[in-house]
Amino acid sequence: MAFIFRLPDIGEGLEEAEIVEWFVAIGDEVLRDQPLVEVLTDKASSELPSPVAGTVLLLGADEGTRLQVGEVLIEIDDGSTAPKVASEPLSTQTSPTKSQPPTPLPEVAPLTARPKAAPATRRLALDLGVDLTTMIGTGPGGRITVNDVHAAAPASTSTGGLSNDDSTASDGLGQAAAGRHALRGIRGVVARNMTQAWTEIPHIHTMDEVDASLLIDFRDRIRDMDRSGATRVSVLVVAAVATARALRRFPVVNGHVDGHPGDAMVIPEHIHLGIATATKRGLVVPVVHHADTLDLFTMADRISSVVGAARSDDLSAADLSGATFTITNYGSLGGRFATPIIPPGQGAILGLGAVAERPVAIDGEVVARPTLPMVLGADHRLIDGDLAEAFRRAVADDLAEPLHLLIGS
Amino acid sequence: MTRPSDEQLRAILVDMVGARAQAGRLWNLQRQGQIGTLAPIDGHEAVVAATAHALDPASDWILPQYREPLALQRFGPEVLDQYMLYNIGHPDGSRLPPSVRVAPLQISLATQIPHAVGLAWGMTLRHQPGVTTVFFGDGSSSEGDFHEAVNLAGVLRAPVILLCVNNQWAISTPLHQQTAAESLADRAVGYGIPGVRIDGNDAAAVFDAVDEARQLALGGGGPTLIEANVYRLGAHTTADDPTRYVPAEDLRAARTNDPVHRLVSHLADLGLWDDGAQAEIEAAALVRIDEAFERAMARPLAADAVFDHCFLTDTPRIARQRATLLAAGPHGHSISPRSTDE
Repeated sequence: MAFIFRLPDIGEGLEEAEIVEWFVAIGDEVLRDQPLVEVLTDKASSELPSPVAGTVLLLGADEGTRLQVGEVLIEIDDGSTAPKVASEPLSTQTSPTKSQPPTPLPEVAPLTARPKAAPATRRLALDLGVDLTTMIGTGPGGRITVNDVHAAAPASTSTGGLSNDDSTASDGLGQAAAGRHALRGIRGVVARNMTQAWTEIPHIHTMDEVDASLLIDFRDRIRDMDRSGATRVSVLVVAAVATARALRRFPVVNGHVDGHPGDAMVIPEHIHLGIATATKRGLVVPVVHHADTLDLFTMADRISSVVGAARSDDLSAADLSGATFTITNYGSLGGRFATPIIPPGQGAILGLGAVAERPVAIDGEVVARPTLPMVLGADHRLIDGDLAEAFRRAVADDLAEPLHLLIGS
Repeated sequence: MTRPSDEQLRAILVDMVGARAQAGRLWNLQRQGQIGTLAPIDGHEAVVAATAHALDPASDWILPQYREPLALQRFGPEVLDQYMLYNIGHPDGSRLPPSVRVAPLQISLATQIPHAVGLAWGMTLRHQPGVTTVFFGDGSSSEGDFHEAVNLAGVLRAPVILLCVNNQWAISTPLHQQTAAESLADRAVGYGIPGVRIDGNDAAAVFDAVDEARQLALGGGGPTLIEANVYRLGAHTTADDPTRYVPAEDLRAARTNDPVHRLVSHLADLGLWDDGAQAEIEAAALVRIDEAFERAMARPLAADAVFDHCFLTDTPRIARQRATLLAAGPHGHSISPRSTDE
């Protein structure tokens, strides 16, 4: 008979997890405590070990799909005669699932006509003008949840902002079936962050084009060098080095406003660059830490390594945290100017457009030159136009004449 | 200065190695959904086990916080039984055990410190021999309960050992954001009691410091504040992801100072330890924890036990909830941690 292992709540009050990778297949023999699967929850990615030894009979979900806590994760023939199940211990018994709770709590007739809802849910209902007495909740035993209240509210209070800098070059771009889809995983994180940034941060943008003739020549000559990592040096890498130099010169641009509506200015001790990266799963911003201490080749290595890891979904949480400033190279997807949104917890963002030959006026003559469009988005609570422009120009000067990189900032 | 004998050191290591092995099993049980949230002991083994061996289980009390039980084997097998009952969410896990002098876990930070001072003072008033040792962390040392209790302990000269296990992290708050002080032991000066700062990864240093504090307390000299410095080698709890905030290089450095590895290497040099002995000790420890888990699961549990321990008599709301649960019929019994399906 099968031992049924249901997805446990391995955090405190988790509702679901994504199946990242199965380490076993149907028919495999497994030992007790052998890792079966890696799951990704709201909190962390974790390996779940087998509660029993036996033969795998069934995998409850495909990789990349999500399971509710309490749904069947795996069935293992452990040679026992009665079906057993590893369920949750008393202390963490919370398994609100919309679809088929596995060990259903008893259907209990309410002793009174009072709607079942937590005080915070009642308060929300009051605020949104929702009458709870007419509702049947989707929580355990008909309990009314916050989501139920939002769904019943006259005007939906859910947020689902899509930003303009998260387009991906992946397969299936822009594809989805008709209907309403919950924003989950990275999509949900992007939605929340962008909504927060867009509503809290008063953005200003300053933009210009840099004559990139010397920059392209510089990059090409470095790439021709017989030196490991040379081929990884790109416009983005040079721009990252120039940005780190400029951030050291203007620490306020490396800072951010803390609290809402803005109680304090925080200036970090270090310079950590976020590199906005389009992946199949959505926008990911891996971080190059201590960017101001890296030379050109090390910067090339680090960017190539974190961007590669982001694309293969191989980043640790540390690789994703701590950015003090972000660069978005939207130009790699084409496009001249954009108005990138500053990630929450930062004060500015640099956008790089596509390098292309464009008409430039030099000494009264219009000539064709490669130009690099660049945009600085800044939090106006922290950064006025003069500082934004001074910072953007500091980066631009280094890019227009990369020999500046040899000179101490 | 009291150095533990080689035999004592070996006995301490047996408990440390057992605790480390059991901690791995405990983590798996949690990941399998069989027990609730818990705080792993990894990195605290030396300070807990060596303290237990410097105390007398027949007369001294230990008031743990929530990370210690696996290394308190010396105080009796009941400690592990209580801990497993606690981990499966059985209310009996929070009872004062009748036969061992180890209090139940405290999750509310620092609340065990006033308990310990009260217990120690009570022992003095009743002319009972022995001392009380209370474990708490660097985070707890910022709580009001810590200051009030330690101050009172100093005034009363209560026979209590205040053992602050400084593992450098209060969940995700690093020590330098916890306090501007260089040493937590320095606080003792303000309460008029001795304060010592030791390497909590050094079992012999822990044994020595606890023994000295115990002799002082038994002689009427009052409390000692001991700050034992260690590094938390794993997650704060099973609901925590330390990779989000613990610098990888700091953790790597701490692992080179792993208390278990240090004592293994010391005793192996003396010819008192080898891989074979370690494997046997680990296997025996795993059998003990499996058996304790089985016993905990077999402990009867009334369907409405959850309502039993808040009020002497049920309030109207509790009475209503108890009746509702009991009226639910057979499913009311499905609370047992290992229920059959449907």
